[in-house]
Order: sequence, then structure tokens, then C-alpha cells
Amino acid sequence: MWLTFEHVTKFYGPVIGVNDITCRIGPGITGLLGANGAGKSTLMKLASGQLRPNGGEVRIGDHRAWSAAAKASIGFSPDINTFYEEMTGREFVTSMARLSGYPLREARERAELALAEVGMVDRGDRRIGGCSHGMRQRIKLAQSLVHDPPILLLDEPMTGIDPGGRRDLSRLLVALAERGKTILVSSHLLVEVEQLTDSMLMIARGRIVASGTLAEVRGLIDDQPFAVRIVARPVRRLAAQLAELPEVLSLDLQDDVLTVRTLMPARFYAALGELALADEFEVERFETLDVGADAVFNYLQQDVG
Amino acid sequence: MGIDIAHYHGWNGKLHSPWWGSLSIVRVAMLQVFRRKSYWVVIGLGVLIFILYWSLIYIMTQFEMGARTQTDVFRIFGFSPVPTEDMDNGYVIFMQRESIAVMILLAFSGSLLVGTDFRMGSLTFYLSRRIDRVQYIVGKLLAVSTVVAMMTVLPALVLYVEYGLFTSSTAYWRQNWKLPIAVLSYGAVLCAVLSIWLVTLAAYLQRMAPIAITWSSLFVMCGQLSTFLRESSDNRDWDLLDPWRCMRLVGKLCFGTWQHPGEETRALWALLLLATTCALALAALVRRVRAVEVVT
Amino acid sequence: MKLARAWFTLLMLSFQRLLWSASTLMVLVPLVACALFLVYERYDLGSHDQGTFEETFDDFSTDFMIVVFTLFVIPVCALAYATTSIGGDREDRTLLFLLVRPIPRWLILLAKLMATLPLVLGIVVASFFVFCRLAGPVGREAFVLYLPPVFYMTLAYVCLFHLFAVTFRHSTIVALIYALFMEYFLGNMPGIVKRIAVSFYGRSMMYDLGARHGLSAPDPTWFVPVSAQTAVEALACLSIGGVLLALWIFSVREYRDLT
Repeated sequence: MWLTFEHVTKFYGPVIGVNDITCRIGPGITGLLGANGAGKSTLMKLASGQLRPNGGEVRIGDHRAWSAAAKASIGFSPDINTFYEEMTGREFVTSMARLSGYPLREARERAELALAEVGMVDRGDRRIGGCSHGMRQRIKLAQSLVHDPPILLLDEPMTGIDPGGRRDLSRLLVALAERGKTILVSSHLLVEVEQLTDSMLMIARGRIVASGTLAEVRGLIDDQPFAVRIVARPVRRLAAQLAELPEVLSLDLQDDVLTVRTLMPARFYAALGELALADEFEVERFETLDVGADAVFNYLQQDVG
Repeated sequence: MGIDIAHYHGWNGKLHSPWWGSLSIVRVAMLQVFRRKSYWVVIGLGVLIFILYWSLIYIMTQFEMGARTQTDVFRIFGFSPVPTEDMDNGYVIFMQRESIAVMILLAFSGSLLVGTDFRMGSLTFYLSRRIDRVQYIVGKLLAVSTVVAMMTVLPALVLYVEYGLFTSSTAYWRQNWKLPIAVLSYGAVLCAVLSIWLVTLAAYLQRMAPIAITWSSLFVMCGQLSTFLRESSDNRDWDLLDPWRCMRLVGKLCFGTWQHPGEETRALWALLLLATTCALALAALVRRVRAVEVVT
Repeated sequence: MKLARAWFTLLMLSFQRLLWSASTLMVLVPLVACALFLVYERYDLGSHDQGTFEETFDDFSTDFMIVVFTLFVIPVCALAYATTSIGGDREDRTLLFLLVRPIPRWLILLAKLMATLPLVLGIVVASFFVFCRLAGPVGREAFVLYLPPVFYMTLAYVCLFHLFAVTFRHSTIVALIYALFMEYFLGNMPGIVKRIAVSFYGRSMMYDLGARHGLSAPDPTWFVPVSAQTAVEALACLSIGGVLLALWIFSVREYRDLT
């Protein structure tokens, strides 16, 4: 099932929350990245039908996101941390299943499954009021999974979860994506999303500034130099030859590790390959340094700013 | 960025006493109160009553009318610029007229100024500073007292000043210098009792609805029941059931004239009653604030 | 079928949460105070000359039923639950979990209303029954006569306070201002201004129904009551109109406006 934004604009009084956003999000995991106040939560709220756009349309499959019919197809894990504190985790998830229309017996079974998926079966009978932040996050995720929706909207799902829990959660989300679910995960911690998925939507000041895989996004940025780290032998001769190339912007040699900056990565890679073959350089290691989401994100932020 | 580059350094001056923290709590509380539109609606209700009395004084002092007419008009509004045998200090009566607005305002304040500290965990932020729970409690009590004084004592004193200003000499002020003292003493009792009761109630009930129900039961229903019981049994001791009348009686103990037989004795009983409930409430409040664990 | 099940679950969930809330405990405070007052009145006055049935009926109706029960107990009971049924979820921000379920918004509010109504009616009618029993023969007669006004007033207050709950952020305070300030002042204003107060219609019904025992408005030239039939129609219209307006407001408002 697809989540579609068509020219969506949302105002909060005179302040614009999201500005003319158009995108389609399909099966698999999509990371929604942006700094605080960039418009991630607004986008999530529009998708979950909490807000109505001032312009454009948000659709869940064939239904408008605001409609009750659309809600049957989404599971939403909000960024708030409040629940019915007097309930146990099991009771809460069961209640949410029943509010999705399941009879008691099936709701209980579904709640057990959802709790098992988030690793809360053994702690499900604890009162939510006494649960840790991580446990609350898991309960929140369980309630979004309990009715097996085709679309999952997860607002900052990793916040407060310990590293082991993050790994488990990542595995769960990957498994759910493999089952054909559409998963939109928002985060401002880029490393979180980078580990989960290669597909990104980057948002800044209410606009989508980039989308696609990290490499594709990186390719869009032609005015920012790529940094490439090379460990090769003989490194000094390689450095001298690379310095001749018009693609190379700068060179830095420290402790036999060569760092090259280039504005034309594709042409640089081709030239490096030719050099390595022709002069029999022994390239031990070759890595691009700033293709990580943080670097891309920072570039885009600067670009929009 | 290294910590040394950020130019962090310790405070080399002398820190204020933690008691200054109580004043900060009051300042923050006032900002919270005045920032909310709903508060202004309730304050507006209080201002309406003030304007009514202000206009009454203006009309009575600026327009020629017979002494009898003047007394009758004052009697309709239950106001007396000079206490007589059957009329109480008019400024104190005015303060009592403000009671509904004060009650509603405090029902709201209880949840906002105290309840949320417990419910949302803001108490931890207060107690993680240099202030102790005593300074926290004093700060909150002062904050509620400020709200009460703003709605009662302050406008009552303004009315007293107004009455004197609208007469042609300073004789009114000179002859009735005890009136503002009675207003202040009644105001002090109001502030002390209402703040202690409210802060304790809000610390335990926290949410607006239960606070509002309890508060209105205490101040509206008890007052009504007290009136019926007093009238049906012709026994003024039932006044003690009404918190507002209790506070007025104690205010009179400080600086008032006795109008009914046995009023002084009742005032002593009212004092005992209020002192006991306040002491119990304070003990419960200290216990409640102590019950919150602050992880440092 | 799925929707009906979800709606019924929401209704039961809301009912249970309201029943076991702090409001229930706090509502008991004025109710117990009223009961003690009636016990005292009955047994203390029992030692004196009580007057005729009509006089006692008049006293009970005027002093207790109108001033305490109608003007205080009913609005406070309605306020305790009607403003918290949706307001509690707003305050705790748990409303979000309901809004993302496949239940139309207006049905969410309707479930909240349907959970509140039996609870408030149950408490009000049960306490009214107990108070009337405590008041003796006069109370038994009053229970039969005044049950309709009590029912309609409770219904009107619950619906009105639900309207407040979806319209105002601090609905408890707005309801408190309305119940204790506006109703009191509007209900005691000269002319027809008082006709916008719920209590006016309740009092009118009581005066009309209690007329057979000699009950009448204190000053008929100042308080001009409407007939019981008109009062029922007015309260029913107010209730239905209030609910429809509340359902419409709730179904079009965004979550951020509700929190």
C-alpha cells in the first residue's frame, strides 16, 4: 500500500509547517530525516490524519488520511510518551486491538503477538506508569503493530531504547518491510535511519530537499567535495600522480594514509582505477569519508539555509 | 568542542540565600498565571465586581441624595463605608463578594501552579536546585497568596482610597484608619488559609476537575448549608461551617468590631478550626513533597 | 460489525476510566455533606414543631432541592465527568491513541457521551433517591414529582459540558464559571435573560410540578416561570442542539486544537 502526498501544504497560523510536498512512499522502509522543527512531525501528523492539509491531499491507499477508513490501514507510534498509565502494557495493547474492532479473544492473541515482536511478553503485566522509557517505546510500537496494518508510521521510534533494543527493533522493522509493509520512520539521529534503510526523505524548513538512496542524494550535491581515503603502496608516488589530475581538489598525506578531495567523484574513480592498473599501485583500502547521512544532511541543511 | 574552548567557568561570586528561590517561584508562577487567557476571563469577573463597587462609591459621593436614600442604596449592595451596628466593614464585604471569582481562580491555579509540578515531574527540577522543599512550599504558598491578595486586598484598599479621595477632606481616612487595617488582617487570613489549603489539595489531587469539585464543595456548598442551618436553627454557631465566614471571624479577631452576641467566642473557635486544618494540611503537604524522590 | 465492536469497546473503556477516576471520590464529598445536612435537618427539626406537610414540602423544595441540589449538586456531578470524559484524554494526550483508530471522530465523542451520561444520571438519581428517603414523607413525594426535572437538567448539563469540553482547552474552568457564576447570575437576573440558564427551566418545572403542594416561585412578578412542558422542550432542545454542535466541532477540529 502507498502513502501519497500531493502538493501538501500545512500552515500553523502564519507559520508554514510543510510547504508543497509531493512524494509517494511505497513498501519497504523509508527514513524521514530532518532537524528539529524541519517539519517531520507535521508530515507524520498529516499522514496519520491528526492534521488536515491547507492545500493538497494526503492519501493512504485510496482513502484520504483524515478519514476513518484510512486509519484501518495505518499503525502510528507517536513521539509522545503518555498512555493510560493505570493499565498494564498487555491491557493497553489489547485495548488498542479491541478499538481496532477485534473481538476480545482475537485482540488478546494479537496483543501477545505484538508484545512478542517488540520483546515485551515477559514484562507485559507491569503497570505502564512504572515502565522505563525504553519499555514505553516498545509498548507504543506494539500498539501500532497490533492490528497488522500495511502502513507503519513511526515517529522517533528508537528514542530511549538501549543499543541491544535498537538492534532488535531494527531487525523487526527490516522483517516487517520484507513482509511488504510500508514503513516511514522519522528521526533526527541520522545514524539510526542509515542503519535501517538506504531510502531517505530529507526535509528542511518544511520542504523535501532530497530523496532516494544516500548515494543518490550525495550525487545531487555537486558543489560539495567528496573526501576519499586511500591506503596504497607506494603512497607517495600515487599522491604525486593524483595531484596531476584535474579532478582532484586537494591532497592530504598523513601516516601513509592519503585523503583526496574531489568535486567530480565519478571521473576521479575512473582515473584512479586507470592509474592503479597502469602503474601497478597496490590499493589496500579505499573509502569515501563523508557519504554518511550526517555529511549529506549537513550539506543539505547548509544549502537550504 | 572542548569544554575549555566553550569558556565554561565556575561562579566566583557569592550565591544568594536559597530563600531567594522562593521569590523566583512566585515570579514564575505569576508569569504562568498572566500568560493564560482563561485566567484573564476569571480576573475579568473579579474586575466586574470591583467596577460595580467603584461606581457605587462614585455615585454615592458625587451625587446629592438624602442620608436615608444613601443608606438604602448601600444596604442593597451590602456595602458600608463606615461600619454601623448592623452593617459590617464594607471593604471586607467587598472582599467576600469576590469569593466566587477567587474560588474559581484558585481552582484553576491549584492545578496549574502545583498539580502539574507533581503530575509532569517539574518538582524534580525545582528540588534539584539549591532550594529545599521548605523553600519550594513557601514559594508556592506565596504565589497563591499573591493571586488572592491581587483579587481581594488590593482592590479593597483601592476602594478605601477612592472613597477618601472623592470626599472633600481627609477626614474620612483619619476617622476610619482602622478600616484598612481590618482589610489587611482579613486579607492576611485569607491568603494564609487559602494558600495552605489549595497547595495541599492540589499536591494530592493534581488534576483540575477533582480540585474544582472539592474546592467548590468547600466554598459554595458549605456556605449554603451553613446559611440554611443557621436560619433553620437560629444558631449562629453554624457560621463555622462556612470557610469564608470562619476567615472573616478570624480577621475580625485581628482588628474588628463585634456585631452579634457571642461573635468573639465564635471567632476564637474559628481560629482554632482554621489553625488546626492549616496545621494538618501543612503536615500533609510537607509529607507529600518529601515523598518525591529526587535522583541526583 | 468491526466498527460497532470498536465503538462499544471505547464506550466501556471510557465508562470504566471515569468510574474509577478521582472525580468519583471527590463527588462523594458534597453528596455525603448533603446527606448529613438532611439527616440533621430531619432529626433536629423533628424535635420541634415541623409545621404542615405543605410548609415542610416548600422548605425542602426551596432550600434543598432548588438551592443545593439543582444549583450545585447536579452541575458539579455533570462537570466532574462530562468535562473529564474527553478533557482527561486531552490533558493526558491519550486522545491521540483514540484518534488514530478506525472510528469516525463523531462516534468517538458519542461513545464518550454515552459513557458519561449513565454514570452521571446514575449518581444524580441515586443520590436524589437517598436524599429524598432521608427527608422523610416530604422527600418521597418530592422524588416522584421532581424526578423529571432532575433527569432533564442532568441531561442538559452533561451535553452542554461536553460541548465546552470540545470547544475550550480548559473546559473544567469554563464549566465551573458557567455553573457557579453564569447560572447563578443569569438565573437571578430580571426579565427574560434568565431563560438562557439551564437551572431556570429546572426550577420552572419544579414550581409547576410542586404547585399541587402549594409550591410557587418566590416572586412571580420577578421570576416568571415557564410551564413544565415548555421547560422539558427547552432542555431537550438544548441537549440535542449541544450534542450535535459538539459532534460537529469534534469531527472537524484537528488534534492540535484539541490539546
